[in-house]
Amino acid sequence: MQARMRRRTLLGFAIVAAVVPASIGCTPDADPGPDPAPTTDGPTDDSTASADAALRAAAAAAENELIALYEATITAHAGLAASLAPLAEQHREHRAALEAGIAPATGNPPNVPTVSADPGTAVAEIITAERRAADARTVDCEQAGAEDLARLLALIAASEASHSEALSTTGPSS
Amino acid sequence: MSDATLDALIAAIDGESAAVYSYGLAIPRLSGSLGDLARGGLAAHRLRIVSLRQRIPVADQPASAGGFDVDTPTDATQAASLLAGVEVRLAAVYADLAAASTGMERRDAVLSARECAVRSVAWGGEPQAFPGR
Repeated sequence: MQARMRRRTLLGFAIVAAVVPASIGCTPDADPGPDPAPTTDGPTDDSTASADAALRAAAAAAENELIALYEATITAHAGLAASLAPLAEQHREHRAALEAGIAPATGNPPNVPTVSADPGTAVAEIITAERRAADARTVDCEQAGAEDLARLLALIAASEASHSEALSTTGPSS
Repeated sequence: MSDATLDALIAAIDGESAAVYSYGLAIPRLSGSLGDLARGGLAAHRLRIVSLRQRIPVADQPASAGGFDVDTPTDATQAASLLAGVEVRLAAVYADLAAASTGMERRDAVLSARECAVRSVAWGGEPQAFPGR
């Protein structure tokens, strides 16, 4: 309540509590927005387009490393497959969206990561990798030229942050 | 400020207002640590509205919204489900704001998107590859 009063004091007349009978901003279709997997970036100059393509390639390579970590962890700890496989699949979706509109990667696949023999430690290592990835995609987003790429990187950063949360907790309903 | 940036800011304020409204409906159904989690979320969303409004010139300030089309939750499960949905949709709104912003304002928008996606999962939502899309 205090925060609300402070806001009104700050902004004074500009804020009049309006009672709007219809639904506003609370329905999923209120803001459909563009597709998260754009086929092309918006019109920008050549250097921006080239920098964006490099950002896409580097982020896709980072997704590859995360996918390799998930796959190695599932191989080492079959009991974790149910919780890890859906998240690994989301990283494949990230990679596909990032690679849209750029040449496919030609480099070697990432090395198979070493996985801890202890399942709890193995999950903790994935959580750390997800947090780093979310931070790296946040920085990438700041550097993106095209709006479509900025939006995609913001969504990926949010997804990866939520993966950390999902692996750290079991949720309120369980 | 471009029209696109202003539109994205107003969409974020609307989404945050919907979140504040929804938390207000949910909190009476939540107790203990879930109640604490909800009050923390409510405070965070209120602060976001303040900082979003500070970026908008007085002449362009949108009116406060109200009367959202939300079913009032009747138990803790419904309350958590309501909040998980509101949070994940708001994450996508912030991704749009990130696209329509630059520099530190874009960074703030991404961090907000991340917080919303994390809170959605904390309320029992499934992680999504493209939250809210």
